[in-house]
Amino acid sequence: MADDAPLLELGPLQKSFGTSPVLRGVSLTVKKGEFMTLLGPSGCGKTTTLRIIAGFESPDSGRVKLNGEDVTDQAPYERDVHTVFQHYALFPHLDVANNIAFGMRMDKVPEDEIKKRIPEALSMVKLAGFETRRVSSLSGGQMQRVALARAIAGRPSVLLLDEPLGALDLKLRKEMQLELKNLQKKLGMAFVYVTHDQEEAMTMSDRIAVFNQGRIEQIGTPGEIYEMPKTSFVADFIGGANIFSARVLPGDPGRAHLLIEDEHEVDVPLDPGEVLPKPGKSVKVGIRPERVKVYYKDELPFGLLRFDATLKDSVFLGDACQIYLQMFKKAPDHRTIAWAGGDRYAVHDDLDVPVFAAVQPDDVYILEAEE
Amino acid sequence: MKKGKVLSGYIAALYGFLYIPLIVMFVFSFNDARRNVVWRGFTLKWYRVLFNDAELMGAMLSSLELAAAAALLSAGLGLLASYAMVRHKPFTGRRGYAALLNVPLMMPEVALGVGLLSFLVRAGFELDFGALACAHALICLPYTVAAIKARLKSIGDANLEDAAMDLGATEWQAFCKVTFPLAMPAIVSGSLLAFTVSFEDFVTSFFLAPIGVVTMPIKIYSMMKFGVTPEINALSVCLLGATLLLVGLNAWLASRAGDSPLA
Repeated sequence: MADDAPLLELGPLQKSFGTSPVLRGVSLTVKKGEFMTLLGPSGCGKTTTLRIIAGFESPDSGRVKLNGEDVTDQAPYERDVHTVFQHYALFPHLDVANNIAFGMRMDKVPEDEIKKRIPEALSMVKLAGFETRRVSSLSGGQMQRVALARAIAGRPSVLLLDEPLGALDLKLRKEMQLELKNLQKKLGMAFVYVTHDQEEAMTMSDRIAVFNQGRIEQIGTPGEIYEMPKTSFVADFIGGANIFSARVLPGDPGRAHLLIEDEHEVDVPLDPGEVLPKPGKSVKVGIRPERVKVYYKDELPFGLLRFDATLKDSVFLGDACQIYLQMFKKAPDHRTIAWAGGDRYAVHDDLDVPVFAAVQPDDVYILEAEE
Repeated sequence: MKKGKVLSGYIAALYGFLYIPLIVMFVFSFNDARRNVVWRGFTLKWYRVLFNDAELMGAMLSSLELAAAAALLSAGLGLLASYAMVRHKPFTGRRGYAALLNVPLMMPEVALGVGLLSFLVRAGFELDFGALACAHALICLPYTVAAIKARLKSIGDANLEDAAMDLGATEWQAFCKVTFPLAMPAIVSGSLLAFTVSFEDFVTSFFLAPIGVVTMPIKIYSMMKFGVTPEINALSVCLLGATLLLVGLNAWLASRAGDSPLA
């Protein structure tokens, strides 16, 4: 098998529970040693996809291929994948060592080999010396580490993780994110990681698949997803975005000439290969709040797109300040959000003052077409 | 304040109503008199009489054997029934099946006894110890199912069987290595409950007991025909003590099961 051949290949998966469709054609490939995150809000189908890979659910249609072999109809115990469950699922009647040995005993690994691998796995998750501890005496973070050790001890081709950090507190979660990423690199094992936390996904992943309503909206590296969102859902879910609707006007090739909310005309460059609907059609466009600059005077640097706006509200958040702008006379209730560092706008008493909102032309993302 | 007094008075009356007869029974089991009305001084002779009564000890043995058989049988069947209801994909009539298992709890025992008797006789079964044990297992089944089903459900909710299968265990291995050991406290506690239910059952035994098999409650009933003697008091005290022991054991096991949280 060539090194860049996909290790795990899914698709196109369809699955319904009763009459409600959960997956509507999910296709995905995971390469060897890749950290792939399935990201999306609850009920988007990410966990069902994971359970299909593990073998706990079978798809209505579509196949699962692992190492080039079709495993769709195999039972969970026949597949070379292990899962780290959200609530750990450690065996309470066994001590830590026997929990870790469980999978290896099932795989008929020789006992002296098991004896070697238990402390190895424990030191990987920084729990050396915990062999004889009872599961009920562990803290949540320790249980999660044991669950991880148990899953990697059998050296599966793919490790599946179902929101494994969901039950931990914020500080521990941040630590574990980096540790997980380091562990994954060290093992060179492919991880498929399910989460609804976009920050977690950005921190750890090689690639992210953004799920919404049973479909994958976009697959890409964290950078691609953030810098080149393809749909308003992705733009909004990852990082947040101001979403506008815009009409396509006739313009130069390689550029988009748009009329935003029937009011502001802008001219922005297209990404290579990006296709724009015909003039007269409408598209959604997105601008990230942190890319909107606010100026009080007409002192804008050259090359920025400029919008007349009114300062409506500002919220001081400590490390940043969130500014609410009214940018459209025809839609006075529409609020555009801008982020400013520091407290420059926090102390501003007079609201309703005219300001200028400015963005770089290539910070305007052209998203999906509108019907 | 007044309301509190009324309430505590009511509670005292309630507990008195429940427990004074037991206390009287306990005290009079040590009464040195043939008749049960007047206190004549302390003695242990009724306990001596009791343990030297061969017939009574025979009845005790029958009841113990019967209760043990019924407990084992109902625990085994209860485990299978619970596993089917909890672990398997919803099957047609599952809710009806679950409700049906609870029917012996609600059905008048007399009806059950008459029904079983006429069924067994018509179907040509011999009314022997085995038939009686099966009948007892039937009335014990709701108790074992209730205990075991709840435990299996929490094992499943914690994804423990999923985890076992994910780690390479077949369904049977997962059952042997994970489900069964974890369900054991519930199986034992359900069996103890079943044991008690069977041991003190009168009606079903009365209808179905084969000739020559006399269970404890039936023996007590026949002794009562000649009035409540101190011997019966002593016997009842022994039974009460044994029951309390079992209930205590059961509570201890249940609390131990609670100690090993599954989630």
